[in-house]
Amino acid sequence: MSVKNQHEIHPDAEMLSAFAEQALGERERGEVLEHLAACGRCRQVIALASEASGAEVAGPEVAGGRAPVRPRVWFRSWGLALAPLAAVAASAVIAIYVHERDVERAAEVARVERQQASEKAPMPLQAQVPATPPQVGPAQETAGAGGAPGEPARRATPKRQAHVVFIDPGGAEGGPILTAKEEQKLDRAMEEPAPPSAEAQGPDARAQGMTGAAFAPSGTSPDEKKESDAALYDEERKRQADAEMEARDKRLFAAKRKAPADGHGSSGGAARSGAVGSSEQVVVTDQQLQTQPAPATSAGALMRFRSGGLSGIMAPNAVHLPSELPAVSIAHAGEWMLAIDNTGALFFSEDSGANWEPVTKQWTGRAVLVRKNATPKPEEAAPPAAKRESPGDTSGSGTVSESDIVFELLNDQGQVWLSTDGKTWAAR
Amino acid sequence: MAPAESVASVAEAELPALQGAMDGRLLDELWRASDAAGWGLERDDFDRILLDVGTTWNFGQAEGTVATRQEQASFFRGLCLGDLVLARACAAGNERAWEHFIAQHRQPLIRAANAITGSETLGRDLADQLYAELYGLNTREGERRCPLLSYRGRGSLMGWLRTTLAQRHVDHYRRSRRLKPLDDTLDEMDAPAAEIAPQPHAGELSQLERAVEDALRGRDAEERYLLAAYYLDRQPLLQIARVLGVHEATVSRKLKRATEDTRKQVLTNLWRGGLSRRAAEEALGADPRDLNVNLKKLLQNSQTEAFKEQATP
Repeated sequence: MSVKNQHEIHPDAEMLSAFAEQALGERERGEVLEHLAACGRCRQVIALASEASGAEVAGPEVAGGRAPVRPRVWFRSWGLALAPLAAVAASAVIAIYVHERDVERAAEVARVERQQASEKAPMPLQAQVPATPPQVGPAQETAGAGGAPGEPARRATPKRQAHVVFIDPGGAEGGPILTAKEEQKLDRAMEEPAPPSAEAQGPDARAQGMTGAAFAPSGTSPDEKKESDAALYDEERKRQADAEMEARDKRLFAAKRKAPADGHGSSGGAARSGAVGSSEQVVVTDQQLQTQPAPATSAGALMRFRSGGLSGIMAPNAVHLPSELPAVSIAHAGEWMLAIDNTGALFFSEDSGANWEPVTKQWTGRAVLVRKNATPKPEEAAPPAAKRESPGDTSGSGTVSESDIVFELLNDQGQVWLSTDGKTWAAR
Repeated sequence: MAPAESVASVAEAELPALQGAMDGRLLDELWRASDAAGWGLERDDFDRILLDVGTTWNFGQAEGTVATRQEQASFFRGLCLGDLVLARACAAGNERAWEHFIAQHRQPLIRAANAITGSETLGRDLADQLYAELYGLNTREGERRCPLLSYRGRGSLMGWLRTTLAQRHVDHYRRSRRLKPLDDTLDEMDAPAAEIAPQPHAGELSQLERAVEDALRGRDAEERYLLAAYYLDRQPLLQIARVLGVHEATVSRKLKRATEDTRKQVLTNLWRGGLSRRAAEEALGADPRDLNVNLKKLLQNSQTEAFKEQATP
């Protein structure tokens, strides 16, 4: 239509609509505006249509009523910017987290490398370390079904065997490197199940726990253990664990007999087993193992601890080392004590843990386990008759003299160092 | 539904001549852009629709002016072609087009009617009535008449529907207002003046009346629209701004300027009429009720109560 004679003719709906939508040219717009200035009816029409359009934009829920038009909130205009901003913030958080992890790992690697570099410094016993360290120690071979005769592993008692399984996700060469967080996590996990602890049973019980008395089948006084409910609990748990271990060993050894030798300590029989290429299983006897293993080395060890007796696990954490770090492995012989904290540092005490002094590192890798063992003498292959003089010793052997005491230190690569005084160490 | 009418009103004989006057490539481009084939329109029908729209509006040019091809292209590119072909397909009885129309516009139509009437019941009645007409239930001279044929793509189809609803509502209201009882209108009457102001001389009053009339007639269309919408219709600034497509603050500034300019113009007219400055100022302070000036009549000299609806859909 034309808007000529606009004082008599109203623009049609399309013209008004196009005017409100700014879709008209300058000339047509002027004509419509001229009409609107004079026509109350068309002003009303266009005002209502605009109001309906505004209600439509505002949303269906307010379209039915005359909802007041509210001013725009200032942050509405930032709505589009908020989404990318949130994405950038999330990316930044992730990047910082990844960076922190990398830094932690790098620091850990650097620390281990420094330790390894310092081990290359001239040390009298270093020369005795074999160029290619054996993947398993003698103690690991004790459970082998077809071990070579005359080997130290033969000292195992036939009654019962305690097994420590080290699962090494990183392989045997590098060894597992745990970050401080992972270590603390493991520490917390170790502290989590809290049956009656050795501390609650007094110093004697604590000493028993620390020396691995819970693993001892004999040589300890049954009356002392049953003095408290905690001791009963420990014994019960121990028996259950032993039963589980024996069942597991049977399955394990049966499988190993079927499996071909892998060339690593195959003469020892059960030297290596578990996850192929990614785990290392060390089997020791209860007599050899008078200390607690290093749980920080692997999650497998933790699982093992959880399934077995728990009172002994709590004991290392009760020791307060100069490094202020939790002890992961403790050996005890009379008044002498050796402890390894979760960074692998070794400490020695001559007064049952009252005072500690650090031991200079004379081994490679990271110390994960320290234990007391009897000197392997060929003539003492049979159980010796000698009595232990040290009152605190509650190990399973109980028949070797103090001069025969040998401490063993196991690093994270399965290599073993020996010491008779806890301070001077030589590779096996 | 049977086709109500031909999709375009351009005669068959006129089509080749008009097509020759238009850019063929432009028509091809518009044909592809409109997706008219999707709604079952033939190319000739589409060309006919465009030619009908173009000739009706003279391609947006003043009457008697011949539009160049560039002006034609500019005009056609400003059309809502998608809505236009949909409306024509619906008018032609294309079921798929109707399904799309209902899915796209049915609920917004009801919401717009609710907003216009301020009542869900009235709104639904209004929307249903229009929808029935759109579907072609009304007949004129024995032929179904679909209001969608009057839509020619200037502005959106939804805007056209909203304006059509508003027109019907306003017309209905104005018709029914004439039957409103007098008691209801008493409240709307102006209250008497609180105190009796000194009466100006009759000569001054008549001079003032002329000055006001001249001042308002001298305002341009936009200023008169602003003054009328704000002072007569009492529309809020936001609503006026929405109609004009400007910011509310712009409307406020323009309105203030228009008011001041009108006042100055009235004073100027009074001085020109022989009054002194002081007398002119005093004359402006006269009670408006003493003036025989019908501002509504001045601003709305279109006698809109007896309007003629030219393009009633």
